[in-house]
Amino acid sequence: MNQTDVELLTMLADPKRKSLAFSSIVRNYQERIYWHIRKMVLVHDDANDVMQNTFLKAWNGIDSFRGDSLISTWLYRIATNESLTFLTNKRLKNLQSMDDEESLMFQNLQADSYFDGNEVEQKLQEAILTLPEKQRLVFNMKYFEDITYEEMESILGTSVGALKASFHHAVKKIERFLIEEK
Amino acid sequence: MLFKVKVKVMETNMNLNKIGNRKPFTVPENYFEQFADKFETQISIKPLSPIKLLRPWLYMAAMFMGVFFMAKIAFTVYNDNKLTATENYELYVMSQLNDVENLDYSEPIENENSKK
Repeated sequence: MNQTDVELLTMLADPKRKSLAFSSIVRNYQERIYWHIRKMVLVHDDANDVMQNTFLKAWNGIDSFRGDSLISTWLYRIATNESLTFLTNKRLKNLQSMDDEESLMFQNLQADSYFDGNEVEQKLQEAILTLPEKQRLVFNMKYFEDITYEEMESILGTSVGALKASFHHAVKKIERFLIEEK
Repeated sequence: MLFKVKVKVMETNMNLNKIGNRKPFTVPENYFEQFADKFETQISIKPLSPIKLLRPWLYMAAMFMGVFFMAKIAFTVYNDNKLTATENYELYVMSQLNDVENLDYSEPIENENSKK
């Protein structure tokens, strides 16, 4: 646990400073958490909803957080679960097949005014959408955020070896997709 | 040969290292500042009302009252059933004796002696 985490945990234990401590947590980690969510759900409005749920859940569960992991790891875990839950609920609402879900998500992405990718970046996002959700997570975390495999292991509960293999396969699939689609 | 070169070039261009890892997403202006402010308002501590403080105790009291009344009803029903069973038995025994038999047993012994 780093020094900031120790200070924050001390403040969180004090009822008078708990809110202030949590505000600090939100301000320190919101951007990282947001981008982690956004890369999964793609659209800004959805990412905003999921991030609110993430921090609300964290706030409601803060008393049971014992500091056995970094605060960032804990937040990432909540954000990951909330993102996956959101995508599952969305899929159920649409009642469409997996293929249709991907096309729908890509269409929503292209229509999102907060997406400014060029043609190649668009194609890359389309390729990433073809990956299974867990593999998408691994790819996004490694490729865009350069999170270490050890930290990923804490967040996702998957071994480093499995994560490396997953990322390697994801890269191959994406590159194959990009070549075939060209 | 030319085809193979073309494919190689395509593959190189589609290599992820060439594409880069820029995030092609943006956010509304001041989004993060506003998010933090809004969230702080959401979690600002409000004092708990007396009802909210007492609620767990009220739930417990209601639960014990419920258990007490259920036990009372069960005991009353059990007692009633026992009484009914006793009454029914007495009625059964009386029904086995008819009126004539009852009269015979009720006549005094001297009547038999006078007949002789």
